[in-house]
Amino acid sequence: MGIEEKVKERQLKATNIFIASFIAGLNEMGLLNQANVLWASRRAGRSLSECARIRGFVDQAPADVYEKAKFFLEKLVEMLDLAVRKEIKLEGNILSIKIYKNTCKFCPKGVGGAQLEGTLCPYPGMMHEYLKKLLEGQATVEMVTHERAPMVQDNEGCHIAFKIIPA
Amino acid sequence: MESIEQKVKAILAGIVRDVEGIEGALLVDNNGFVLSSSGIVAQSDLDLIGGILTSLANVAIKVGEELDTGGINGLIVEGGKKQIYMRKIGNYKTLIIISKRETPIGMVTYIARKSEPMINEVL
Repeated sequence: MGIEEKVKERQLKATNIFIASFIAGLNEMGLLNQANVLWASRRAGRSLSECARIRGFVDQAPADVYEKAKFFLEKLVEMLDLAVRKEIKLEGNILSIKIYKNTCKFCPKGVGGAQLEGTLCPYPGMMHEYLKKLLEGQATVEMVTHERAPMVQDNEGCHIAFKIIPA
Repeated sequence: MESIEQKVKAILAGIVRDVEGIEGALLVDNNGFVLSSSGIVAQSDLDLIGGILTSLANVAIKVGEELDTGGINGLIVEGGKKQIYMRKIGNYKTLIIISKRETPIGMVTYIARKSEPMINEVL
C-alpha cells in the first residue's frame, strides 16, 4: 500500500508520518527495539500526564478510580488522536484499548514502513506511565504483558491492557 | 518435562558456572526482551539492559554491513570493572555474557560459541 492510500485510510497528518517514519528510521539503524521504545515512551507518558493536568482533566474526572482511569485514557487517546478506530473497555479491574487494524496513526510499521518481525509501539509505555502518574496515591497500574511483550496483535488489531489496583 | 525456558535457563546457568569470573548470562530476542537469564543480572532491570544491549548489537551489525566486515559474530564492551560480550544467535536472538574485567575474554567467547548450538537446538 502506498502512502497516498495510507493517508486516506488512516486520515494521516504530516505529524503522524514524521513520527512513525522517524521511529522506523531509528529501528532501521538498529537503535530501537520494542524494549527500549517501551522505556523511552514512559518519558512521553509523564509529560502527557502534566498536559492532562494543565487541560483540567484531573478536575473533570469521575470519583470512582476505575472510571477515572478509563476517563484519563480516553482523554489521552483524544489529545493525541491515536487512531481512526479504537475501543476502550473497562472489565472488572482491567482497562484495555483495542486499536483496529490499519487505523493506527503512529504505527512505525503500518505508517512508518519499519521492516521488523515484532512490534515497535510507543503506546503501551506511554499509556502506562501516563496512568501511573495521574492515579498516583489512588491506585497502582500494572501493564498486562504476554511473554514479556506489552501488547498482543491479532487479526482485528492491537490490544493493550492495564490492571488497576486501588490503593 | 522441562520447558524451553527451563532448558535455556539451564544452558545459561552452565555458562555462569563453567567459567570463573562470569557473573551473568542473558538471552534476548530482537525486540529487546529477555527470554531467560542466569546469575547476578537476574536482580537488574532486565528489560532496560536487554533493550539497550540488543540495540548495541544491532548497531554493530549495521556498521559491519557498511564496512563490509563479513558479518559481526560478536561484540565486546570493556568496562573498568566488568566486560560484556554479545553474540548473535541465529537471526533473532542475542546471547549476552557479563563477566569480571580480569576474566580471559577467550574463555568467554569460547563458552559462548560452545553454547550456541545448544541454544539453537532448544529453540
